[in-house]
Amino acid sequence: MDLESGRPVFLEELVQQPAQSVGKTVRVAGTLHAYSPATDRAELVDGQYLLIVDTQLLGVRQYHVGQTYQLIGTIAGVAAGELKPPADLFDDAQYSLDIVLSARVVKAVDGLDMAVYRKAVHAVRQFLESG
Amino acid sequence: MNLENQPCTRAPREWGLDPLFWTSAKLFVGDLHAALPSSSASVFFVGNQHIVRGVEVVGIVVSVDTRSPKMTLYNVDDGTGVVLCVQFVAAEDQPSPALRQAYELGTTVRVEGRLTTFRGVRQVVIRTSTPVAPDQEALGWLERLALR
Repeated sequence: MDLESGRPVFLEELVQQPAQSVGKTVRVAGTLHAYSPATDRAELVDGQYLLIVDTQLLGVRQYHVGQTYQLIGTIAGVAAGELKPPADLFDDAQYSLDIVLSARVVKAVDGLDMAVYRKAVHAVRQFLESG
Repeated sequence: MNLENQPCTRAPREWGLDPLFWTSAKLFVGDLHAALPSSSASVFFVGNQHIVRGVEVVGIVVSVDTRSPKMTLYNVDDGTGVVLCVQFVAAEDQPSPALRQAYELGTTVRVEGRLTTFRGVRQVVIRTSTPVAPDQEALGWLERLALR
């Protein structure tokens, strides 16, 4: 089985440049803002950025809104009008209806220090790009 | 990965002089795939003529295969690559699948074992594996950057 590695990215990078992410396998972390088991749709939030996640491949599991999750999956492009805008949006929320994350691995990571995580991701990314 | 791997020019009888030969080197998964093979199936060259047999990786389990009664196969992803990790099951546990407690998908694990190539595929034969907190993975990345 050839699995592609999930490159750690931040939600703002996906939301601000959705077209560049389509087809890529990524790893994201954020807080669960909403979840609908009927449509297998979750909304992940990091700061003011929101990403829509397709949870169909994750199977039956319990999700807790407000808990922090880390997901690995592939960014899929979505045709215009296919995705409904998120409900219960907070002020200054930024999201994209052009992409959705088809997640295949999920992990609850409550207690993850996001500040340290961001610095570590930036450090690894800087190192990989310098090679 | 940019370790600029070079094959070791020393004779095999001198490979034990390299401290990394006797330890489990903390490397990224991308480094494992980029390591140069040697004349021995389980010895690899990384960096400036360093010799590595054992490795330690920290990452997320992205696949679990328990179909074989003799082994459990994990794919571990640390953000730089995915590596196959093989855990051989003890003989006394083989007839009882219930005794084999495989990790769940998404578990962050620290895997330490022997780096090998089997049928052209790099893999780690697990000696020890431990589930760790997600913070430990970020710490592991920083450790590996500091050790380069």
